[in-house]
Amino acid sequence: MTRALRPTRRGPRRILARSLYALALAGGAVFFGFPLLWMARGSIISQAQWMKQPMEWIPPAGEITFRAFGQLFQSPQFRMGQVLLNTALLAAFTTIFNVLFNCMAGFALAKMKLPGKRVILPVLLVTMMVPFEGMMVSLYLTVTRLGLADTLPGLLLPMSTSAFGVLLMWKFFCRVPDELVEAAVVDGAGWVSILFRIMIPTAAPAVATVAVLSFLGGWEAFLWPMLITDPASQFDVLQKVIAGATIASMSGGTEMEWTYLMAAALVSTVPVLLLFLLGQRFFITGLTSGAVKG
Amino acid sequence: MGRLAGRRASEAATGWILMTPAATVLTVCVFVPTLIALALSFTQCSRFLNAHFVGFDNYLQIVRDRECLGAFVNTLYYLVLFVPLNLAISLGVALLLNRTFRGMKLIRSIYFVPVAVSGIVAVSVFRFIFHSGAAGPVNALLTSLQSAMGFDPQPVPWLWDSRWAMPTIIFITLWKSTAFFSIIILAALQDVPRELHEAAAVDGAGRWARFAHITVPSVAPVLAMVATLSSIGAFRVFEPMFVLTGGRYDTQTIALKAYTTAFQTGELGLANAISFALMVIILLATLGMNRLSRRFE
Repeated sequence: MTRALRPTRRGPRRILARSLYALALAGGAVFFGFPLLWMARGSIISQAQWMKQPMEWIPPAGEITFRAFGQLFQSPQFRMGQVLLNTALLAAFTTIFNVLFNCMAGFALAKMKLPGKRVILPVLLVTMMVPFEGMMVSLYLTVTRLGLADTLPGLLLPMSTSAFGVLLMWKFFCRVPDELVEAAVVDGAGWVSILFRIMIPTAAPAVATVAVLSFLGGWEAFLWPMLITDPASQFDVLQKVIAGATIASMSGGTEMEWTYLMAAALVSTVPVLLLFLLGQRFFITGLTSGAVKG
Repeated sequence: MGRLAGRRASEAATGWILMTPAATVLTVCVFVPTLIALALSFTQCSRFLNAHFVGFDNYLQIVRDRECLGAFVNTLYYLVLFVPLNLAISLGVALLLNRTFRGMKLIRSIYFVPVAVSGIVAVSVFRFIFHSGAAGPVNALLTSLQSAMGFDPQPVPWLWDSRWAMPTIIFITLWKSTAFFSIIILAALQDVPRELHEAAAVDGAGRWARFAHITVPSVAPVLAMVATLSSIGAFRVFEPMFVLTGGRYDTQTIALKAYTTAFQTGELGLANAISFALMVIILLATLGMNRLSRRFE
């Protein structure tokens, strides 16, 4: 950006500045990229190779094995078939419910004459500030009391709507011109068809944002699944299993192969990474507006 | 007139039907738990929910009990290091990436990799990167450096030592958060009009002057937002300590203490007092930071 502005200087100073910049850029790439490489390396070497002294940074080709990825599905600790299915289902349901519920509520708040609206908006703003970690104990007690501990509905319930999502949709729906809605009302369209035929298509980028954020939230959910499902539950999800295996590996012993753990980590990361690379534009606008609140 | 009123009523009814799912979930999963946390925080209560009123005893215990107070101190230590480092590194990375040349898109993709890695997976990989023995690349690099300089090779027990555990965890969480926040700052930098820089350059402003008087003021609101969000995140920090140290080596945080008090010792009254204190702290921090950041706008 600043390149065109700078008066073209030649000579050693410029070369020095350029090399420093290149060095910083490369250093940053190593810092941010290295853990992914280490994960990949760790998933294709044997436990013996893990423990080898001195360490071989690049394992010899003969030592490389992709056995772990198959073994994950048989290992009683990872049960990858079931766990992957649970995680995919949780992410899918979280996305569907968030998009649906947040759009419905956001629409009612933005475009309909709703008694009590003036109270709801500030309440939502305060709700957004309640940290999950602050209410995890009492939320656990509430959901357990409802008889939903270690069930799919119990797992889904707190993840199916967010005050932030409602506010985001509200904000975007407010920008849709009132005339569009009024014209549809005059034409005799019902509110539900206005929501699905006019509002959602018009605010598609915002819907995509809610979808991306809630999909990530479901796929990467850890704390709530860990609280509400039993140890070794039939509803275990990826992050819970990975965290459990990491904790086990911290308390010493190598009876659990680290290779499996890194393979599971890769299974968790690669789908998100692919989505990220394919839809970088959506991801970035999603995350950026995800951070800009209200 | 009558038709219109009927229409209004049905509009309100439909509106509330559309609100119902979100309103129900938020009531059951946010309002009710918040009230329960407040109510239980004034009681002594075991797992069997046989609560009896004890007034402010739990809050007094937070201040008196060394372990409880320690959790607040540790969280503050984390915050004081994390927030400024996060801001400085994120801004630095964003400036580094705010140029255009062939290949920059690829480089940006590498820099944004951590955003696609879940918090738990990040912690899990860094657990091996900071392995205390020879299997860890950080220690391998360190010991070979030490022997090259003629010292005895001494691996550092990164996550198994009170001096190192917290800084190591801060390093790990910075890896993910700086990648995320630099995306946001970069987006703001790209919105700074080029003409401003050009006009200033014509007027003879140097690079530093332009940085201080154009770049920084135009992204100041975003920087304030990054500071707010990362402070909230710092108060809430739970996962890395839960997985890596279990709160040992002086890494017990407020959220982790609430968890262990509830689910391991089963003192639900105290656990909810800690939780409610955390909610109040975050509410105050958010409001305070918002007020502060309004000055930059």
